[in-house]
Amino acid sequence: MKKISLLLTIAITLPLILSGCVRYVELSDRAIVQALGIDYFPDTNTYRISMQYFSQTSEGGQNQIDKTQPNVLKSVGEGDSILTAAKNASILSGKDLLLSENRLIIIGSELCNYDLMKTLQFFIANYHSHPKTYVCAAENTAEELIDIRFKEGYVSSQHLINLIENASSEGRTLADYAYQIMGQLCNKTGSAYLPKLKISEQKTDGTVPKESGGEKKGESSEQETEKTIVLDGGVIFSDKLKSGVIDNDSCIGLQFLCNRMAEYSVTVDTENNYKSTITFFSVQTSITPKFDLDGRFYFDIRVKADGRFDERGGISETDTGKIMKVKQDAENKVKMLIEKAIEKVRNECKSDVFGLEKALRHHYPDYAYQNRDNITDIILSAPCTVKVECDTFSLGLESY
Amino acid sequence: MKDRLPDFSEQAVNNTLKDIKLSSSLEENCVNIRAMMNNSTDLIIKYATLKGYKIAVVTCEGMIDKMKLADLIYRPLMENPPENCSTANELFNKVASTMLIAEEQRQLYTCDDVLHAAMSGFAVILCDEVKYAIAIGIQGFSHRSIDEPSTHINLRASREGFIEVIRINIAMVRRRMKSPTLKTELMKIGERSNTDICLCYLTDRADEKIVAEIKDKIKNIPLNTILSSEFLQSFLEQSNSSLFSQIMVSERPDVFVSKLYEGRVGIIVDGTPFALILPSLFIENFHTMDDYTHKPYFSVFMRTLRFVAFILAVILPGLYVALCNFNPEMLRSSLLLNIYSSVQTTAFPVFGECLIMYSLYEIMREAGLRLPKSVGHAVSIVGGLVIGEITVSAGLMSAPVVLIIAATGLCSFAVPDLYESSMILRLIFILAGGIFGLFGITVAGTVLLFRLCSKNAYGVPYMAPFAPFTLRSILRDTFVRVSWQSLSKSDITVQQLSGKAKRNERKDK
Amino acid sequence: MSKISSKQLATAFVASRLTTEMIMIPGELIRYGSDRFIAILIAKLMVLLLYLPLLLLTRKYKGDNFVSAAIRRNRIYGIILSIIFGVVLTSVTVNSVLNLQLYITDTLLGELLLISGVALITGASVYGAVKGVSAVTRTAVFGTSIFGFLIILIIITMSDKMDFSYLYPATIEDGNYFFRAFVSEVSCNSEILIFAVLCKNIESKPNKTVYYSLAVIFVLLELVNLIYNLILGPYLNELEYPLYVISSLSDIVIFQRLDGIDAIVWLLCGIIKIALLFTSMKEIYTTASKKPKAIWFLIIYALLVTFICMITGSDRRYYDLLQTVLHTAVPLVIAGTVIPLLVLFTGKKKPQKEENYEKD
Repeated sequence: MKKISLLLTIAITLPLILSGCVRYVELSDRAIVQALGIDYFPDTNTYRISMQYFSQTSEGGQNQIDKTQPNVLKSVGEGDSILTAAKNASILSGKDLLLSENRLIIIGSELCNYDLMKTLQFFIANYHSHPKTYVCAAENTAEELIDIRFKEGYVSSQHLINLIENASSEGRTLADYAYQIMGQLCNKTGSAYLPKLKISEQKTDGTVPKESGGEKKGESSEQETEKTIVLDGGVIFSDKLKSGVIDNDSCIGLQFLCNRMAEYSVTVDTENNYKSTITFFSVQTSITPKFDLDGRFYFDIRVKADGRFDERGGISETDTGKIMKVKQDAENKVKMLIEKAIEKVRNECKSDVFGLEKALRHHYPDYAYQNRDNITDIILSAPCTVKVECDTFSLGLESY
Repeated sequence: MKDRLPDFSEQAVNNTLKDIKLSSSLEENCVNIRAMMNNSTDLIIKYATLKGYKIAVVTCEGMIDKMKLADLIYRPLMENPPENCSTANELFNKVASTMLIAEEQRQLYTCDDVLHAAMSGFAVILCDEVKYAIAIGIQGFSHRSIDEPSTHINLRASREGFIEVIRINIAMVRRRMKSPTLKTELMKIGERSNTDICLCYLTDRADEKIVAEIKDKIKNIPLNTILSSEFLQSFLEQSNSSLFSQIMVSERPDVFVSKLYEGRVGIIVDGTPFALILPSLFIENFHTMDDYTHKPYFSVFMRTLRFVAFILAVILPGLYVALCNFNPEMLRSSLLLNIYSSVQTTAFPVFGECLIMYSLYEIMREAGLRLPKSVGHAVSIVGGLVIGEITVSAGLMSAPVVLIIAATGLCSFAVPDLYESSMILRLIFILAGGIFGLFGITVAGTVLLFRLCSKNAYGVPYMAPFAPFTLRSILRDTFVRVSWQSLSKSDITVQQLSGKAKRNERKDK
Repeated sequence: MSKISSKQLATAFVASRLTTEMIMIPGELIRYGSDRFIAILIAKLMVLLLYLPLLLLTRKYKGDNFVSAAIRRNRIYGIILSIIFGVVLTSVTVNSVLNLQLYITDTLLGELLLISGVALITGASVYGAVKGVSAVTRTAVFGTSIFGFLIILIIITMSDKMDFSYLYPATIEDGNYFFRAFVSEVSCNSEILIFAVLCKNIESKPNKTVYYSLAVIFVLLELVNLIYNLILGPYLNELEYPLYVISSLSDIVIFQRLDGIDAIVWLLCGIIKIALLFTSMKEIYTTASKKPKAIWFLIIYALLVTFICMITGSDRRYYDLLQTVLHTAVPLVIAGTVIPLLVLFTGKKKPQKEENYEKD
């Protein structure tokens, strides 16, 4: 038995010794990527990857991360493919890229015109990378967004992530992870939505996030113009390619249509130049495909929500007539936003981001199966009726 | 010196062990006994005359109580000797049957027995013209008093621990189990040491086959000297190369008795306070006597905590190395960034750091263990301050590694019975994690599981009742410890944990 | 001979079959939609049919497997059947080792050399086989428990990401895919081979192993498929290891993703599966050769498997060929159904007082 144990031990250890173990990269030799942007230049047919990777700022002491610093460095790589561009970026940084901590992928405007799916697949297929990464589109190039650094949280990119998450919870935009966008793109219609980021110049007193580094650092004035990043509508994809751009209002409507609106405040004008605000919450959107009496196919979109008067605008609690009017105005406003989103996203961009195909398949699976080849045409051409109902039960406070 | 003690050779001693019967000549017997003991100075032979017949009292220096010797033997013999005896045999018979009042009294017929009795604290009386001797138990050797056990310290259980004297230990067991089915079998093992050992079991609960197997194994132990119970341990194990022992070592009579009640066999060895209990299962390493005195929910929590501590003690450093080198994506973002910052300036790679810190920790522990307490403090200062603080501030080691090794050390003390296993396994897992990452750790873990699951301790699977899986046993007294009300509803012996034997519903509720 | 309970072997089968589901079925055969739910259901009924000769065999030749029943009739006949069976078993073993190695390089260690991966997997599995069938099946209890724990963790952490609108009422949408998924589901039941050999090690009622394992596997496979559909939706079509991706989305307090743990679980279960295959081969050898000790045989056999793995794994064409052949389910039907059926009619029962030559 001893001999056999010895033999087994040798059998296990020998390959271990012969193979020279497994190549690994020390943690200190890795570049922990925090955000990356991908641009495509059709003229030269090249890709450019720009990334922010973690680098502890020395002011924080040996083992402490100084949260008042951006704590990132930038690295850029260009190549004929995404892989070569990434490798060149890795060479420039002198470290092995670790994509596990990357929480934001910014797609350059030109790249949106090409296959988004393959680009995303490259970044989330690697076992190190994380599918819970936000994906955004850039108004111009992704690199110019990566250039801007913020002092918030551990690392610079945290600001952008907070920006997207806050906007999503406020009902301004849809924020999807990479794997969710992949799921949307894998649908038959290949429809998806990406929030769009753009650079904005704003006056600051130096305390708001501002561009660090570069020649501007050190210039201190009471008010100066600084570059910052803001959300500006979104990019719509159809058949896996960019099919259009929508504005902020359509993004709100889209959020209602996708049944992902958590809370949304609508302000309407009342008498004497006062304004009233109703907040929609517990929003439920249902899209039901129906056939009318003539046998024509259409989508019945209904939005149901609970409402709350957050700002009464001088309307008395007992004045039911005025309250009802404000409610109706608010409902109409939301309806308009939804109709605008339908018009923009479905009719102009020919995209099915809000899942008409899914609704059809749920309600009429046989019909959907029989018309599976021209299902996209059916859902894009069918008329939509929108109805918004808000059950306002709380009159709230006079002022917020 | 060699010339004066030529009989200490192996052959001479073996010869003395030959069965020499006592003769009718007192002188011859005494010469033989002295010769067998090689004129050892601790053998005392006191000659006297009783009613005209020569007698001799053989004792061993320091093994007897001199007051008892005087009260029980010398005084009655000298003050009230038996009357009307015509022969030496008659006189000696009367001495043996009517006079001597002692708890233990034996008749011996060989020189060998006389010697063993004398060395066990008996006073042996020999008489001229009589072919036997009387041994009277007047043991009075000095020993440690019953004290709180130094290991397995409990909060609310008994404070008594075994001591080095086997008879006192047996009495402690009997005091806790006043059942006629508790059987104690005294045996002598070790050709030279003739150590007394006592096999304890409950005849109605212990498996006869297991008892017979253990007896058989004990009889075949080839050791000459048995100085501690651990000497026996390796001979009673099913597999010597195993990291995990199927024999429990306990210093506590209450634990000992409770295990006997579960159908196990206990072995008490003279000269050591550590008793052996077998067979023992893996899960029992996480049990303490306190678990039964605390509320069940607390016991469940503590047992689970101990198990988690053991797992951490085994795999934490290996896991850390594997995650840092191969799969950093598994770490939380902020944790990864903090670790990343701390390893930037260190002199060694993470794998090397872990190995060095592990070795340093074990060296410090070993150094501090056997040192006098006053010097032990110095080790603590060197360990805590120099190794812990300076290496980090000097940038030689990263703070997480120091923390992990320290935490691992702490965790391993939570399950003291598995300390040795966890120490070795930790090293194996560091190597596996350092070379092959999580893959290596998994392969090492699987091999370990195969090994643990293949072990059978005297017919009982070592990993029972988890593998083979018996839900009822698991939900009774494993990590889960049900209330005494539930425990009292049915008895489970160790053999029933394998799920094969049926458990007994208690009749004597 | 070590005996195990029918439930113990059933647990090992569950671990083995789930491993196949997670790491051995090509990603293209796991698609979004209702087709696979039905494919699993019908495949399980089909597998029960394939088990039928074995169930009858265990009834007729109690305490025997097909090798001993065949050898008792005629030694050469038994050995020939054993060799045919052994070839299929070896190809399944090689396929399993290679798939597991591939899984490791895809999920844990991108840089792992083929020889290192294959040697470590084979070494650990052979160790399990040396320790015996009870050790392997007992370990499987842990593997299955960890899987259960993982699934619960995933369900808890991903409950907010489950989109029930991904489910829709439909039957078979793509006939071609459905057929391929069905055949694949049938072919991935190498447990039949293991059962054919290890049925003699079961203490009593070996048929229970089949019923229990099939029922549990069916429920778990449908549950896992449901989780795939609810979380990943159409993205499922693009993935090779769906549960791995789902695990990477799960965030628990200590780890921000569970994919590493998922990989560990399947590695553990994979080694258990391969250890079961090695144990089966050992049983065939001990039964056919009537030699109770088979350690040397196991070592030589492990070296052979390593060698074949090195050849097959180093060239993608050989690997694909092996995959294709095994996914037709023909080898499985030959070894798991035809051979037992043959022995059922041609085998010879054990005489009443035949002494058992094997010892544990």
